[in-house]
Amino acid sequence: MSYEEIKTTENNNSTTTESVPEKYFTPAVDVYDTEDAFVAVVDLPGVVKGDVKIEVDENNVLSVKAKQSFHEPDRAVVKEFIKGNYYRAFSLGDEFERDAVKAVFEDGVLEISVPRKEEQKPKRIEISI
Amino acid sequence: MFCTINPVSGVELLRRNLDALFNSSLDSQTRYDYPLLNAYESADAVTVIAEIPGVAKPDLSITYENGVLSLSGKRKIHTASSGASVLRKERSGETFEKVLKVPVKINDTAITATLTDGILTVVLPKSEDVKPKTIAIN
Repeated sequence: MSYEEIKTTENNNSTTTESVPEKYFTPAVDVYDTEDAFVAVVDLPGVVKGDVKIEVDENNVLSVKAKQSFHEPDRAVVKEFIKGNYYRAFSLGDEFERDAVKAVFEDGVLEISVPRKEEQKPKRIEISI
Repeated sequence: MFCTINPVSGVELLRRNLDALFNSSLDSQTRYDYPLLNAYESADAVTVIAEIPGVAKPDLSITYENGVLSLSGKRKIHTASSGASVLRKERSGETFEKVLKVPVKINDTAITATLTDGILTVVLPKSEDVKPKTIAIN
């Protein structure tokens, strides 16, 4: 399966996606390859459903952008995380159906599945001797 | 002094954080510790906010005893079918425990907790005798 992570650095920021948020956190992601699809599971705590944006562009780059929104009191005494934006992108091969992306978002976890094109699914070929 | 203890991770946490440090660019930050926790103090209460995506209410336990708030639970990590191959595995917290020492006297019968979109908010109201008092002038 062909897929790779798109790392945004100062050098390629302009060439990849035009709308990468300036400051963002990289959410933890699990990626699976099932026979039928590319599946990514992304932790997005504190994100309301309407604030998740999933895109597959013309180069088959799958990107996820999200914004945290929860009430945060003043005067932090312990601070392990900062409220902010999330961004993560993966480049998918041509074997995936970019028009058929499915996503489920529940309890701050996003599951995206991009199906393989029908002709790209592994075929079992019986060879008789 | 407020302080958090993560009894589960320990050395593993250090290793992950070092990995993250060397692999990440300066403008991004990968969050591997699970769950991450913030605490805030006002005149009336201590509020704890933890990021616990993917945890259902029945799988979470919150206790407060002798000035220590404990969060523990589990979450489902494997959602893909069993025949799938794993290409990347960053999400942790299949079982987790996190402890916060609260150095302020709390009215422990009035603690409340809410869980929304993977964010847990615990409000620990301060005991009446540690709240600031306004003194009326006769």
